[in-house]
Amino acid sequence: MTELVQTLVFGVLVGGVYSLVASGMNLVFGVMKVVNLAQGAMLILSAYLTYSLWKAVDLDPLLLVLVTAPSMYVVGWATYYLFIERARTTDPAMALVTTFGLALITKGIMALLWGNDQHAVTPAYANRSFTLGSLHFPQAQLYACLVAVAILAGLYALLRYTWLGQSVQAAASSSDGARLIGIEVRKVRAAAFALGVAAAGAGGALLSVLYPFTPSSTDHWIGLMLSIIVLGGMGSLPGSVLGAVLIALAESLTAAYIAPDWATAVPYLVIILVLLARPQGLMGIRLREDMSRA
Amino acid sequence: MITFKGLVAGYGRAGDILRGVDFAVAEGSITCIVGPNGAGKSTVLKTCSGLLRPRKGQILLGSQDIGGLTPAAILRLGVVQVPQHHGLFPTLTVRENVQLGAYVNRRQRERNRARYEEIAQIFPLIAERANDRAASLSGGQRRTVEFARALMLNPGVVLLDEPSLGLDPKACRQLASSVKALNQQGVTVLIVEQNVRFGLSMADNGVVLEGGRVLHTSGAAELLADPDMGALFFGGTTRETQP
Repeated sequence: MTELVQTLVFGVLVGGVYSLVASGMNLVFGVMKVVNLAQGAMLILSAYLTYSLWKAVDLDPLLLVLVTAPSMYVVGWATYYLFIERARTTDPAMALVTTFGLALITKGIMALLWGNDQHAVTPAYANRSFTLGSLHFPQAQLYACLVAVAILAGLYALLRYTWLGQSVQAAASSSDGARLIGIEVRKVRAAAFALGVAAAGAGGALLSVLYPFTPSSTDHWIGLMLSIIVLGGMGSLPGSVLGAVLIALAESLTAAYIAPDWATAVPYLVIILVLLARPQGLMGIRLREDMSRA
Repeated sequence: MITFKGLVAGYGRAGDILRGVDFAVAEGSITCIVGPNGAGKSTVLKTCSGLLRPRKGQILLGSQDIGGLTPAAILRLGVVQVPQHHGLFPTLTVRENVQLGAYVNRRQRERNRARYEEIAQIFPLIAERANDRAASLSGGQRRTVEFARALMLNPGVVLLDEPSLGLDPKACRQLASSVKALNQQGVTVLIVEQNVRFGLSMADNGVVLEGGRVLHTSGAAELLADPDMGALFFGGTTRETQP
């Protein structure tokens, strides 16, 4: 029983970080129906930025979120105006190809700047745990999860309760409808894309403490992000959180009770089964019209 | 008063849809634009609300040319459009959808709150379904919410694009009474309507558009009684445009 609870605790802590990592990609998809395949590269780029800053200033890497998230916001904003806007107005498929190209370029730049060797950020608490009875709470996972939850709560509040957030949702639903109430859709899309990349910026700082990374880690993370948002519901932020926690739990339980080698495969099997029953994902919204067509 | 003078407009690199549209909408009136598919009816509204920039000509609101202004600038001048499709945002609640109608004046919080309360009293549906997502509403209910949202800015001019689209007869009757009630408060209404009888029955004046030009303007009742209307809307063109 203790082992099960311990596995669940670990799964939830990891799920918190996965939630943040996937939420940015889901936000971008929700607003402009663009699957940003460069999101994994942005995540790892942020991990490298955290690594370099940590080496240079010796601050707590989790605090460096305050630097990486705004920096990546600027990167996202510039990327939107330089590449994404033109590509998505030409053809939605072009946007996908463009983000794939950006991912490859970013990966190459990271390899040039930091090499292909594995890097990791290892603060003093990296291998320490809190103990509560017979349960262990790894400090790095716990702190990272708390930071991720705080950022996600802020992001959710921004999207749900502010004019900016509601204009983002309006622009996501209907471009012309949003323009007709005075929303400057172009600026809102740029802000949403930049926010999505900023979320990857924050997530990168957290994962740098939890996992070693190389430029090729982008492939693993983009696969994970896509799985989470498909499972949770494309375009749904609460769906990202649910999908992330479920996948993290499935990974933990599989590693503990089946075999660590199966930890990557079983969650994908779960996704296929869920999508057979709910093609829109667990928290994806279906309109009345969609249901009548089904 | 809105005056369209020699309005030419179109989409992208394609040819002109509007090819010199001239007509006036009297202040405080209900004017209905009718015409066959592809005549350019909705394009007139899009240029008027700022969604589409005119290539030539003027749209005068009083004496100010609003052609080519942004939708936000036109909203601030009191011209609001209720679109044909996808006007509501399904992930937002009914309350949020209505409140977004005041987006361009979003810093006037107290005024917006008071206006929302007024509108919720006028349309009971808004109060009843305030916290429901717009995605759960029927077609008629969505139209009501769109209509209510358009009123958040206390507009002087409301543009309605195919308001009866997808509505059953009962919802159409409710819509017509809402339009008339709005007009009685002094709001000028310009309607584009595929359902000619429904549109003209609400209107004071009618404008017939064909091939991107105004074919005819007159009182709505006269247009309804005109035998040429049948020829135009049930196939063929009017005698005036036949070679």
